[in-house]
Amino acid sequence: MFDPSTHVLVVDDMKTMRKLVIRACTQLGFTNFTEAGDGAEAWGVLSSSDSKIGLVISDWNMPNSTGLDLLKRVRSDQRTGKLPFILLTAESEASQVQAAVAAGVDSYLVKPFTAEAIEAKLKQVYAKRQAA
Amino acid sequence: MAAKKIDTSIQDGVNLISLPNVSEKDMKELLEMSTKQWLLLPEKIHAFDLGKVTNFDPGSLSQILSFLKSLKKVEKNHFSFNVSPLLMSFLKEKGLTSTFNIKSSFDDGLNALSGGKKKQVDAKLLKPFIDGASNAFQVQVGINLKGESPYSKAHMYEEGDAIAGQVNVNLPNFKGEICLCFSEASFIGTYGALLGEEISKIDEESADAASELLNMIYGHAKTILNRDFGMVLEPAIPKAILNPKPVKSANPVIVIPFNSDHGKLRIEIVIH
Repeated sequence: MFDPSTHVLVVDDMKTMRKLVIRACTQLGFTNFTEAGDGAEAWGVLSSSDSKIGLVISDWNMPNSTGLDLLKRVRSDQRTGKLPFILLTAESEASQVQAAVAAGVDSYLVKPFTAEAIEAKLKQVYAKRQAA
Repeated sequence: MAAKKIDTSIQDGVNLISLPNVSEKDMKELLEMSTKQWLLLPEKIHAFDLGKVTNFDPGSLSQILSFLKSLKKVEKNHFSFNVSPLLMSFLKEKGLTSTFNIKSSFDDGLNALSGGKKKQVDAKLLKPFIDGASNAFQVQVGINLKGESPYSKAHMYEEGDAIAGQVNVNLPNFKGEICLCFSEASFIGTYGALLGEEISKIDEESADAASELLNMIYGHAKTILNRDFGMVLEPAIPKAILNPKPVKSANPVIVIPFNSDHGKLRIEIVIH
């Protein structure tokens, strides 16, 4: 599992959802969080020279810049290309999953979610990264 | 005044009038009073079910014709259906078939006056929204919703709604709004269960919980409707509306009511 000191970037245009993600991650022992309201704001955090973000959990459907836009930007930049990235979304259509996988997402979590579901995804992503 | 009553109901946004046998005595006075009431209704379409009518006595006929003339003046529409062969002969003889705008059925009349589009939501199209709501509340909020019978009405929102999440859909095959409506008490209770935080009032920060819950419901419904019903709904970002006031809708508003441990809430769907 990720080290609890990992700095998590939580991206969602809804404050309620950011709180829910942070609450679930806090229950798993995480203590370091930065919030962003959309993909553009998140990129501002990630691209700053002193960014210490070690994990991104992002909503898909946001104004200004979507989670998918953010993922593509993260993967195309050398500084951030290898960041673990989980997309969180209310929709589970096959075409969406395919687009996310093609863009290099580590995992995909459908809302509504339980704390157990987030934990399982994080463990899965960590294990996959360790094995690679 | 006759003891008889003229049965009326609102169906699909239409004032449906089931006329009794208007050749009976005292019908003229009853019609005079009823037509005045019908003219005050907000509905833009009035439909006469003439299944029980065999002919019209002159007094009753003049009341109805006066009513139809008044409807035309205020740019409202009407049609008639369930016309027996006997009544049809009577109307033809009087040259009144086009005045009564006779249609083969209620649906036929509604379609003709609604621009060729039946503005009804098929019951099976509501199930994805019902399932989406049950799932979102059970998994994310941790409470069970008890669905109640859907119904339709002529306005969006209700007095007493404190917060609503609303998503607008504007696509070639689906234009309308979908809303999730709460009273203050039911939202505060839901928010507390959702986040483990007690709030005493709804503010801009807490309000987006209504949008997020609707986001989950719409996301689920969209997936099912696209996959199983061939619709092509696209993602949409809900917004939160504080203290929405009732507003008349040009089209019927489908209401899916729910009850929960924290009170009642509703999904409202309007299709343009």
